Amino acid sequence: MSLQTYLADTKHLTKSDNFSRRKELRPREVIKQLDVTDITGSDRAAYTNVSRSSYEAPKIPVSSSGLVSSVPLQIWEGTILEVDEAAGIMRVRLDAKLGQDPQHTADIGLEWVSDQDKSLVRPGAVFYLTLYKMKTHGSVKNSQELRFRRRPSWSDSQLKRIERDTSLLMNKMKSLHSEG
Amino acid sequence: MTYETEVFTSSIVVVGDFNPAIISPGWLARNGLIGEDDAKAAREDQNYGKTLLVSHQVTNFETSWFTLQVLENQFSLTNKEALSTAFKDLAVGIFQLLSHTPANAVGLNFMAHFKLGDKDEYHRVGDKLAPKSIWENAFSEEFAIGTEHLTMVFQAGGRDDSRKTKDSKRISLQASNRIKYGIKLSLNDHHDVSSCSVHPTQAEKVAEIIDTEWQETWNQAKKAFDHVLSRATEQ
Repeated sequence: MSLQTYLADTKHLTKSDNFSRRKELRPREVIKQLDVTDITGSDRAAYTNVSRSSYEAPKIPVSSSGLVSSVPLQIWEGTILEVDEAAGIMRVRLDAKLGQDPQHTADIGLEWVSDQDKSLVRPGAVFYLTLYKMKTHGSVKNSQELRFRRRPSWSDSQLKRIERDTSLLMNKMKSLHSEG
Repeated sequence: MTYETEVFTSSIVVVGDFNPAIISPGWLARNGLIGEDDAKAAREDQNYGKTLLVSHQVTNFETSWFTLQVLENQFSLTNKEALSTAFKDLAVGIFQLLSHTPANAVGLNFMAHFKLGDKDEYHRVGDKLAPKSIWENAFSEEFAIGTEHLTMVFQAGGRDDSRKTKDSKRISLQASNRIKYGIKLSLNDHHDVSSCSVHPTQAEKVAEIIDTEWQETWNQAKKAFDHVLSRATEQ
């Protein structure tokens, strides 16, 4: 809507009506328009520079700490094979995500699992083990992080779609079988 | 070749139409995408809690391992700590849940800061990638000339071919704002999803691209950065 159209459209309104219409006509250019997916050049600076004209947008808080000086050295995708609660370990299969390291199995102590991930520990669960180099105040240390994969559970519509696809496939297989 | 990687991180950016107020720490935890401890830290931690903002126009919060910012037209998830595949899973999960969100494009971004051997090597990289002889007489006065920001775009096909896709890769070089005599290299792997409609929806396509391409883009970033730097630091 152009400014002229907007003014023409609001001439008949009372002062209070006009005010409420203005509130609805929130400017779309409040936040800097970003139509590219490359934010790397800005170092996030663009996100804290909210352009303000007549409308005061919420101030975006600046990140508390920013980037940690870390470089991942290897990431393994782990799958739990079995859990031995008594011994406090989980037997896992590890697949390297970087490089060509061969698949291998290992025992990992349950003490490395964070409290919030403990409920996810069961055979078949997937986790990521990152070995990384970190620089802090002049010293370099190697460290590791274990984080479990979290995916949303199946939605009703997804389950219905899978059931529909399965029954279609079953019908096709049945018809092939009867033709044979 | 004396450069050393000091920081390696990633961000995932999606351009579309979002409702920022939906994506709060509690919503992520209720849907199992982050743990309760992460959600609590985003809300209550002495440092992270200060950055929490959930509103109709903007959502912004952080945990120990990521920062999430959602504007009405842009979603941006940035890794903070050691990079993990769990970071990509978080973005995938969000777009699987918000499967009907209109989206135009997704960018898989990787950034690395490199420390160079010394001042000479630092200048050599800029001079090799952007030779200064072309610029020397641009003004009558004498100036020191430096490379501030350089971006190269890579698109499939030849220069004169009509573009079959809006997908592209961009490699950018900047002086590092973290390391003395350091440079920052970035890769933006841009995927256009605007032509998707119903099956899959645009958001489902975004989730699929992040899920299947992120790791490969990481490998490409490592190789590309090494390639550019090894060539640029050659004597």
